[in-house]
Amino acid sequence: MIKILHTADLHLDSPLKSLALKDERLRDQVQTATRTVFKRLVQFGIDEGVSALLIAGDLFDGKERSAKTAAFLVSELDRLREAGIPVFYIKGNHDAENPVAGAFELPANVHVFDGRGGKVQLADEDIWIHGVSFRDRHAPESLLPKYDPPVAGAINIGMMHTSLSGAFGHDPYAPCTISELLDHGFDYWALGHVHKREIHSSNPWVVMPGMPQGRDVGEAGPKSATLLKIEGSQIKIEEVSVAPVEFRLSRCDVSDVSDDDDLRRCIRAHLRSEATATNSDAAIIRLRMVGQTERAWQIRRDADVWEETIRDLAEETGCLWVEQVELEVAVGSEEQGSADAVSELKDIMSELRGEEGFRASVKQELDHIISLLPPDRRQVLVPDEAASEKLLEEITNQASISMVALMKGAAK
Amino acid sequence: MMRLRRLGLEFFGHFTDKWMDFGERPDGASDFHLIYGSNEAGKTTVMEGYLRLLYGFRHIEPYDFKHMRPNLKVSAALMFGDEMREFSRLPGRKNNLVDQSGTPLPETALQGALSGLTIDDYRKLFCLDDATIEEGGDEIANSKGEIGRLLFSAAAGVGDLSEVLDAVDGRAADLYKKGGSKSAFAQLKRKLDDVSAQIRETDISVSVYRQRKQASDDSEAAENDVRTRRRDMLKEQARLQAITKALPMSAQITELERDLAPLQHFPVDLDIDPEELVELSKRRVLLEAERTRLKDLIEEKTKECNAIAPQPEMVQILKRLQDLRELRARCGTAATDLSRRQSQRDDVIEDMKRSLVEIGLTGTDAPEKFVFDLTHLRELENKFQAVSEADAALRTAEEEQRNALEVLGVAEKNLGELPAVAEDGQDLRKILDFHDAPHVAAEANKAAEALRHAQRSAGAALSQLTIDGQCFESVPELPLSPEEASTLARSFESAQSSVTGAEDDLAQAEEAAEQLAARIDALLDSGAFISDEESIASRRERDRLWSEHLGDLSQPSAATFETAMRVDDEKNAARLNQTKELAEVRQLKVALAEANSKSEAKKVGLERASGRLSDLQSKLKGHLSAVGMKAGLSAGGFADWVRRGDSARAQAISAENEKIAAAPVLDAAELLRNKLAGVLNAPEARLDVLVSLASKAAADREKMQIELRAAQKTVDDAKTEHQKRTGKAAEVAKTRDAVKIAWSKAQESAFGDAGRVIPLPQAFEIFREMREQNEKLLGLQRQIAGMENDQKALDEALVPLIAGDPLLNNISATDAFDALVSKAEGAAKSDAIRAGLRDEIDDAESKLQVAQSALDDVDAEVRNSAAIFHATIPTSTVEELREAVLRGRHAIEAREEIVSLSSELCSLVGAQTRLEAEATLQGQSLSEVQASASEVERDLAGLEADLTTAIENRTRAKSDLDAITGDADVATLVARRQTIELEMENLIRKFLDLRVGHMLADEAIRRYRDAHRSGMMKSAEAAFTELTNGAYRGLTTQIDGANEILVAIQSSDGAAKQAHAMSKGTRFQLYLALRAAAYEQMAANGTVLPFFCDDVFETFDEDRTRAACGLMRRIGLTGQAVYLTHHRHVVDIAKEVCGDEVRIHEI
Repeated sequence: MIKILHTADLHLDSPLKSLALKDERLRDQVQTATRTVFKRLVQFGIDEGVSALLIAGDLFDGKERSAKTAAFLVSELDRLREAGIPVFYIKGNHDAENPVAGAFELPANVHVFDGRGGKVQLADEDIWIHGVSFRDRHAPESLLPKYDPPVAGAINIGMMHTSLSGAFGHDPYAPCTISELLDHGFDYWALGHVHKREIHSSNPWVVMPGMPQGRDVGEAGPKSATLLKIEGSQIKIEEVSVAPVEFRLSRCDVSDVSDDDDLRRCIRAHLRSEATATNSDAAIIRLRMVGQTERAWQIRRDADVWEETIRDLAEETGCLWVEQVELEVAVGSEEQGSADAVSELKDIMSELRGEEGFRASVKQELDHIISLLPPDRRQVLVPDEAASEKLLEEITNQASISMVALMKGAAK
Repeated sequence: MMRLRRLGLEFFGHFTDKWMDFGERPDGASDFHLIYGSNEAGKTTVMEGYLRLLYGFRHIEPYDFKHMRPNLKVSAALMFGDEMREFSRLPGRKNNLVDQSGTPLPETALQGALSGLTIDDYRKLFCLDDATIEEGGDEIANSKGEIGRLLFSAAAGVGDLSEVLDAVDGRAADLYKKGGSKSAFAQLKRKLDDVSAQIRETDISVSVYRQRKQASDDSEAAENDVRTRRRDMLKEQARLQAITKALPMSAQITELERDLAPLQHFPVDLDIDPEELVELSKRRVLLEAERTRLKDLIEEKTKECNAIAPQPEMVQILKRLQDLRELRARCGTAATDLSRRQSQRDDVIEDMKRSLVEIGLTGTDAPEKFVFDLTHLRELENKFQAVSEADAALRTAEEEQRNALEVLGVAEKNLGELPAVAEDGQDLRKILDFHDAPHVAAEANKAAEALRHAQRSAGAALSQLTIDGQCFESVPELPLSPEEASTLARSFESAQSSVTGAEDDLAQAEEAAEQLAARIDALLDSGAFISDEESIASRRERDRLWSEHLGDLSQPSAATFETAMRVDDEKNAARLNQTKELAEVRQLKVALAEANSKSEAKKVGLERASGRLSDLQSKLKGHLSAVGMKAGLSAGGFADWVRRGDSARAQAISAENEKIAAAPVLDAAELLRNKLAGVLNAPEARLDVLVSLASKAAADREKMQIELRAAQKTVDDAKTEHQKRTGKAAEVAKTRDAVKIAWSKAQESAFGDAGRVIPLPQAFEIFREMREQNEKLLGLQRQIAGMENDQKALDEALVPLIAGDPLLNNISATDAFDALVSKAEGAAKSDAIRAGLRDEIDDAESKLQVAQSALDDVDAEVRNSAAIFHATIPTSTVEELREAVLRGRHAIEAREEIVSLSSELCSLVGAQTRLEAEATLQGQSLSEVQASASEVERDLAGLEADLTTAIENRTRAKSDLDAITGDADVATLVARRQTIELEMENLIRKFLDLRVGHMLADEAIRRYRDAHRSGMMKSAEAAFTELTNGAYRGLTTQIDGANEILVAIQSSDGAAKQAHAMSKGTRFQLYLALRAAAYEQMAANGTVLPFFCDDVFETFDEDRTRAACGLMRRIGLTGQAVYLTHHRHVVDIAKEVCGDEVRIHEI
């Protein structure tokens, strides 16, 4: 049986993005996670005695241009060379824009396909690897015509970095359809580019392995690489999870909790189930508390305390780290309109939020504060005027909810 | 509006199936309920039960102590406007609100009426207890009177929202402050700058990598080139250096071979060390010198020894003298000490004699007679002392005896002076006790007072019966009970009212009938109107003529009929035109008939009512005459009089009862009075005066008896004491005599006759001194005797030793001893010298033998070593042998060097044999070779410098390149920067949340206050005035800078008073007033819910409690007020203040 490891989108040295990393203990455990995951994949390949490692693009991240990244990569590829494992690598859009990729001389066991494409036979095996690299960061046309036809009577594996049919609102990257891929006659399409794992077809195989390590809560969920097991003309696949940390977006329903103890119990049980469901060494969790409860105002008022409590409870599990707690709790009867003064204040605040004069004051405050952020963050937070308006709406709404919670809580 | 109609605590707290009915809401009156119950009766449970109904049971329920949680149940009937709905609350997490039939209801069924208030809101706004009112009062005192805040706080029922705002402001400032350097944001900014700087310092870009790679490759190539050139040059240099060394080496070998030629017969191997031979030679010379020296020494010492003669007898004497040396030393000391000790002994004896003279004992030759041992002396002293102490004790006893006698005399005198207590014929105390006089007197007073009061009341009640000048001596027999009289009065009133009503009704009916008749007439009289009668008459006429015409069937009858028919048709046609009027007339006629009928009925009713009234009047008249009263009194007046009569009769009975009850008490009092009056001889005095006098007299007599008994006891005690003291004095005198006799005997025994003259006790001190002097004397005598014995012993010992020496016989023993010692020691010394010389001679002879033996060994060794050399070579002496050895070694070294140099030569020139080497060197000139070597050396120096530079360059470039490692430091820093940026963003969001929240809330609160203040102020003012019972007449504000100060206006002087200057109770009232105003405000906004107070009037005085009850009544006018108390007086006050408007529920 021949084993081949297929991965993509490592984005080496692209940092994890999470407030949970404020905690030094977590930082020590998972920092440079993209390196850790690559090291583990290399070690897995060596331990399993794979016949080849396929990297279907975006080994580097577009932004990270340190020569040290390449030095690290070379040292790891060198370990595979020493173990006699060849590496096949096509460049993705991030690699194409990253100068690091071409600057270093890679070890002799690494075959980098160029933009013209080509095929290589796996030593002593009747297996051919086909691949085409991105020449530029944009590839608006399909790369499929550049692939050779399959070698007759052999196993043909095609490596392609593609957004497939793409997603609305995103640039196309080497677009092509699944049926086009199926028609090409290869036995296994080793794809890359889309960060979420998906098996598009199993006969022949069209596999988007997803990235092996998520970098923020936008890339939540378990991540993996794919192990091919080839026996004769049969190919079977397995998932290989080696991520040191995964991101989890989690909703905890706190409806009907009657007191603090109850709430604590509810959260503890929820976190335990999250911990059990975690595949990696650790998980960074963004917890959203939802539901209708009479204690909504108290929860909002004591948000800081609860956040701290939740962190402690997460720590009890031994593998969960909380990056943020979001509150979507509400009092059941709130919508019916309440007669107390704070409710009246709430209504007044609601009116205020719509008043031009008030909005102008808040806008001024907002613009000043945003200007203090580093330019990169500023660009991400408010790329244009519409985003600024949206942020203002979001902040006034949130501020109003927080204040009502504090005022309601003041006498309780 | 929601109202509690009925509340059922079916299974809750300690209640089981307890229902409270709050009744209908009273029309136009207050809906105020007061629930009274003793402590622990469960008042608070009622309130909590109500709240459970509204909001459900708690997770951990404190009220499940009697009924288990699964069994708890509370129910209520609630009014929503006019609609009543019933609810029950069950335990259980879901569907726990059910209706009457047990069908689950959604929470919204209640929440709608609760306006969305949570249970905490409800407690805060609609429940008051000690804790909240206490806090509220304090808040007002501490809030510096800021009006908006006060009124707002009260309305909202929250502590202080401005504190919330301040806290938000503080938290925001902690996060970010413009220009601040300590805010969390500023700190993050610094961290970010640090990390960015570190990244810049640490990171290496790809272009830098490329440059370094190129530099490294270039420098490595350059270094390799220099190294190659250097290697070639070094080879040439080595060749030239080898030739330079080889040429002189070849010459040296030739020279060595020449030197070796004459030494051919010397041995090839030689293991003799020439240095050892030098040592051997030195040793032989030394041994010979030693042998000569020892021979000379033996001769010299033998001569010296022979010159000294031996003296063995003197040595023996010396041993004896050694034994006497200690004795001799003591005698030497005694020679100077003896006379001094003898003189001291004589002085001591004289001192003792002088001491005896001091106590009168002159001429005593043997003073030691008066030296006593210490024990004896102490016994004597004790006995002497005992006599003195016995004398003193006797004196004391006699003194005490005299004192006791004096005390006895005084006591007897006091007893004699006390007056005798007369024996009364009748003991007052016995009378008082027997009759329990104070009790009887008090009871009699009370009974008399009660009787008087009852009689006064009866008299007053009787006088109330007087009417129209008619008086009654006693209460007459009443024909009716007060209730019957009242009923009669009410019937009378009702009958009169019925008559009046019937008259009015009749008048109205008749008037109505008249009006109807007038209207009909008016309509009928209006002219062309054809009435029914007329119409009927016309029709009848036509029908009659028609009948006639049918009979006749003639022209005239037809004509007549036709005319009548035409008239009838005309009338009918006219009537058709007047249908409306006709209908009206008909209606009016029907109405008139009805009115007439009604009028008739009213007449009958009037007659009936008049009849009933008349009956009642005759009854009343009968009753009046029965009690002898004039007619003319109204039924109401009569009912009042009967009520008064009934009351007077009750009072009279009460007075009579009181009289009967008082009789035995008053009789007993009179009996007692008579007895006391007889004894005290005061026949007219009142009982209480007599009791008081008798009590005082009895007390005086008792006091006198006590004093007499005390005086008698004092006399008895004094007598006993005197007898005791007399006995004691006799005893002490006896003891004193015995002691005196003992002392006389001891004195006689110790001093004999001298005892008579010795002054005591001073002499005891002299005897102690005598004893010490005697000790000293004995010591001196012992020393003197010792010295004299030593001298004698020395003399005797020396006699045999100096017998033959006349010189020594004539000097003192000590001198003779010393001379003899000197002589004997001289003899011993000579002996020692002679023995020493003998030893030296023996030693020298022994050494001489050793030296000779060593010399023989040396000679043998030289002979053995010389055997290796050829016979022609001289080796008979050590020196010759050494010379041969040296030359032999030289030959060996030359041979070895030739071999070594030949080998080296071959190696240098790279030849296999010496001949080959010599052939290579053939024709080479050393100077030329050296010149070439110098040239090569210079070239090499240049190349070395080049190589050093090349190595440095290569090392530096490599190091630079190697610095680009795959380490994760930059990646780590980039990750850190990313996290810091996220933290900054997060912090900014939090800051904005707080900042914008503050802006929103601040403005909203301002608007809220503006909207609510005037209404609140007005309501609060009214409530506060009422609550303080008018002590304050208004609330107003004063501007103080940015603040508005809340002040209350005092009614007494119109002075303005701030909250903090008010008493605690008044502040509570102000708080209560604000809460009442808030209630009104909420009611005005449509939220009206039951308001609960749980005994909050604890700190209020009676007036204020009264006012507070008024306030609750006031809340009850708007909504429903429920007050829970365990104070009975609060119940009374509430009734007094609210009358029927408060409903009391007891639990």
